[in-house]
Amino acid sequence: MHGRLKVRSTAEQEEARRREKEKKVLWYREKNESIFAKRAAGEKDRDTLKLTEEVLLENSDVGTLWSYRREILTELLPTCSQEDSETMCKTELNILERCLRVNPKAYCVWLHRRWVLEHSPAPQWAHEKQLCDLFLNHDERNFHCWDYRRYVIRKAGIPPSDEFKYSFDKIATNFSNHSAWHYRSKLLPLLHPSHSSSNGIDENAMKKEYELAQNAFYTDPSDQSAWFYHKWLLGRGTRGTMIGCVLVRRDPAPFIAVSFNQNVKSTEEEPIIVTLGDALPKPVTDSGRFESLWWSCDLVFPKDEEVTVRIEKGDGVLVEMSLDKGSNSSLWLTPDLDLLFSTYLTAATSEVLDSELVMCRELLQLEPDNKWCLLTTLQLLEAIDYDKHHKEIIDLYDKLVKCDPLRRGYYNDLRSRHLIAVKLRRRLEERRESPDINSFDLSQLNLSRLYFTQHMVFIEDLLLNGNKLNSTHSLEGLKNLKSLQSLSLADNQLITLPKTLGGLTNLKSLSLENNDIKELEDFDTLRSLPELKELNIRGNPVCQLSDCEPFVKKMLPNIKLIH
Amino acid sequence: MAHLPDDDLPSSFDIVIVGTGLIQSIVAAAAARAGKTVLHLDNNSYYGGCWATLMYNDLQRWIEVHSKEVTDEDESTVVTQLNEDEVSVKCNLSLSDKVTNLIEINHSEEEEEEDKGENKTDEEALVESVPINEEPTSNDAPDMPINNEPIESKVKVTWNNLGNQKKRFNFDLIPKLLYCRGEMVDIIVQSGVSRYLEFKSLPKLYCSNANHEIIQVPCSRADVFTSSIVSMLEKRKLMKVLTFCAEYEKHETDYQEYIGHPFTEFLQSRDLTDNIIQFILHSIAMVDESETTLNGLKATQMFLHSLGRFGNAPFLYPLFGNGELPQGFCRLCAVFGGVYCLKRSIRELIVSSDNKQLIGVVCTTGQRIQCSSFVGPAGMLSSGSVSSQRISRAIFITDGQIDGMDEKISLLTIPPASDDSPASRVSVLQLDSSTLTSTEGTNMIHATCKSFGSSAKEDLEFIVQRFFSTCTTPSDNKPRLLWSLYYNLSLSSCSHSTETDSSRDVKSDLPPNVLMVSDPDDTISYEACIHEAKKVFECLYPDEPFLPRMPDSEDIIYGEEETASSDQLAGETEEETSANQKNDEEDQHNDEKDQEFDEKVEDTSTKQNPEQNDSI
Repeated sequence: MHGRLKVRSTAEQEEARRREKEKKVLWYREKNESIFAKRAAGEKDRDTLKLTEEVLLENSDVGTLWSYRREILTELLPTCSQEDSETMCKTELNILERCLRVNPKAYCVWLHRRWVLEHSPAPQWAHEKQLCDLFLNHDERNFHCWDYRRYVIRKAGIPPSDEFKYSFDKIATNFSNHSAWHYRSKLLPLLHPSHSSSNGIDENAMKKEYELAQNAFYTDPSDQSAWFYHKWLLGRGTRGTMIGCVLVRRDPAPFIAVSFNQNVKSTEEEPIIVTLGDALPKPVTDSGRFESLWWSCDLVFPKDEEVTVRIEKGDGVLVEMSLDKGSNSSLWLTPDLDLLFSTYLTAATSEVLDSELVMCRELLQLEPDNKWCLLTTLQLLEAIDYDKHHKEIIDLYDKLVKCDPLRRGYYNDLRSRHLIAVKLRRRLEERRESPDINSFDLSQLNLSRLYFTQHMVFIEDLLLNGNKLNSTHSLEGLKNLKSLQSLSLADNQLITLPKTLGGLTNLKSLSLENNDIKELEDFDTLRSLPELKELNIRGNPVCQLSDCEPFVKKMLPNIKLIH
Repeated sequence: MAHLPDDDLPSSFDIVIVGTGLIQSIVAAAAARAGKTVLHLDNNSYYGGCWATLMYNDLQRWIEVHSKEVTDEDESTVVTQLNEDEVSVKCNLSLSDKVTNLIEINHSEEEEEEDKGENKTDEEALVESVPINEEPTSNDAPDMPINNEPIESKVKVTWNNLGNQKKRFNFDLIPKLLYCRGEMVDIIVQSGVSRYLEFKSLPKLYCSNANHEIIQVPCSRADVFTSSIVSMLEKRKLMKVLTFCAEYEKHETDYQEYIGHPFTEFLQSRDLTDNIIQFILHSIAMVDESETTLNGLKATQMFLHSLGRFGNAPFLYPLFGNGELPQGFCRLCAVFGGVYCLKRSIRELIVSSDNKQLIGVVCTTGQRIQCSSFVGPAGMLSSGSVSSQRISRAIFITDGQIDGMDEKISLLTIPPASDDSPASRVSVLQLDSSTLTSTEGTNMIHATCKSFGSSAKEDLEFIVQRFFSTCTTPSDNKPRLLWSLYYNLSLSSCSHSTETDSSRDVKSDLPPNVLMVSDPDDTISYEACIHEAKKVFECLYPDEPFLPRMPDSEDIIYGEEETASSDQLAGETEEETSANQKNDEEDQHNDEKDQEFDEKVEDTSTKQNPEQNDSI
């Protein structure tokens, strides 16, 4: 009919496309084969450069081919004249740019570009910066390009103030941009250095950044990038090492235990040295690596004599204490219990914390279900005073679990951490007043995991019944309880017995009542507990097994089994 | 009027369309694309009718024509021979009463008079004027420029001394914008008309507040984030309501009780500040205060969905002006065999007295053409349901941007004021030379509103006082007004129904194969127009697809057992598609424009129709 277009049918189109594709695949395979043959033969000439170029322009994401080109160029460049090598590098950059236009997120292409510039006789940094501008205009979240940009800027010597402005422009166009916020975090200390503040950045400059983040929160509170930046601004728990408690005990087996607020490592530059009188006991954990508890046993204490223990780190004495000749054990406790349990948001001053809390609370009124706002409010409260705001913090955790059920495990762990911190701090204060206190009640708290067990090294009687402890992972901390004699894990959700139980050599009584233990073989762990006298396994599926009692009795002949 | 015999057109078409307004042009393109033979006529010497963008000379002619008193041509003397079973329906050819209150002001004359007067009394005035006028050219070089330009730049830009440059102005009779996510963009991309067009994006919107200050409207997420004119709390509330509007259908219960109520009432219920209600109502939704909640929500949603498609801008503006759009569709129609003839219309419809169906038309040349459908502009026939609305227009040419509107191409909305001018919302569109509608160093500023006073000048003159510097009210930080034009347009609109004939009969006594289309509406967008074009096409050809996607050029099969004429057509299409293949989507960033576009349209139509002759 007049004016009608004749168009290929879809079947014809597909057939044509298939043929086209087949031809291309064949071509690609042939080229690749000949390249690899050349490489095997060690050929490093310009023809091979040409050949790899053809293939790479079709598919730039082949690291091996770029690497082969580097081999060839390394061979060729030193033999060339200055002018010739300049042209070669220029050609190389040209090819790279064409590849990037097709695939701007190829790791090996950006990597190769860096290599070429390193080997180029006259690198044009200004042009490289323009290239970055171009690619970041095209996709402001191309982190490959952001990374490359940082490299170029360093080489080109562009002042951080320009780049700081650039990062703002990118954030202004679209603030859902982790790369741009992150770039700010790198530039701030360069642009506004300060010796007085704890994170090395000028307070006034920080204030502006808080405002910027706040603008983003109010515009779109569910965007995580600004919240991450905010958390970085407030600081993320890089604190000095401090000792929580030191326990020295004579009986039954002499030992020294030192608990730290975080995982520490004894290095050559900054060794942690514990001296016992004149001796240097070695920690049980080998090679100077230990976590938050330094522990040494199998010691020989001079009989009926005073024992002095000194702990040094670097060139300072952290703790010096003694165990009187008459007494069996001695516990040193840090005077700064407040600091012991704080981890988050440590860089900010208390005024900043307070003002940020006011901001978050206002936002929370408008967005009562926003998880980022809930979490930040909560962490600010914890940083300001976790004990005083205890009730509000727990409410916020409950809310978080409801608003964001997919991450309830994470929130429950944080909640457990907070609860244990509050309880343990009180217990340590009480213990300071009355040295007889050796028990600790953490029952009925819905705990999902144990925290701070290194500071519980002196506890002999621990109640963990009525929680939600369910895995080996959640009970990992048990290994630090070196003095433990009685442990109740009743009414939890344990399926197996945690291996860490095997290390509690002083344990006399263990209750596993009302858990979900199914396998008799699990009790094998308990054979390494010489003192164990009483075991309660009532209310576990394992009790239903007909050979339960004889099996356990045979395995653990000296205990009183309650089932 | 005498006509040569070879001026005759082919004697039979599937459809005859009169008027090259946008709706007719879209229908013409769609009909040609569906394989229909199309005759497209326009009484004017230019394309577009009310939708046209006129060059300076055409505008002068337009002003001349519309300033005259309407003189009815004595049409009764023309007699067409009819068969017995035929009835003739006369068409109304004089549509010149559509434009009224035309006033053109050349401000350079006022200034020259004043300069003369001042020269006599105070010679310093001329000396003082030099540094002020030097400013635009000396922004990066404080020293005297070395090239030859300074002599020219020292001369104060006036309308008179623009001289030949005036030819480079392109005047939109009715300025409009395309929503980036609107149907117009989809249609031009799908149909391939986008290959003939280029666009500039309009990234910033401004609003005038109660103190007549111009403020940037925070409308996108990025705007809200960077805006300093709204408080933190307002930011959150604004974002919340915008997020709601973007997907309002999902929260029906939240707005149900306001469906029939004004949009303002709904906004007030969302606990928003007045500031934000003004932004949303006038600058984002761009609806009247009385508009219903549902329409307000729809308009807001269209705006929001448009953000982010082509950058952060909600709107596109076509290079060379809005008149490019009807021309683009005409060109598509011509590529698919449509026959074009300007300066020609029809004077009569011929209706069969048996079944009241249209069977043909009589051209203004007296030629009788057989056709099975007819589409014409509202008001062409005395019958048919037509309503009319009056709008006020002003076009200003200035020597700079409006103070406070930093973006070169931008839209300012002035909300209606209860105690002050204006009484209805005014849209002010500022265009610079990058849109190729004004020359380097000048800006074209369009103002449009629904008429509320007695004339366009009365309605829109307040803009001059508020934003421009004139002889009577000189100001340093305001752009100088060089030229202005005021006019009122009365725009007709007809209602269409896609229902079957029964409902059509109720409102219309037209033959069922005769359809009328509306003039442009008073909104800034093309949405209603596309909607109407689709409806008209659906009435005409209910079983044909509306402007289906253009096939890829490599999938078109050429030259197999085709007649000579369609070989020519196929060759044409190949040339079109391959030349424009690289522009798969419209590229609004490309500043260069095919200057020969107008000639090309002419070429295409003459090639298709060698008999055509529009130079009478």
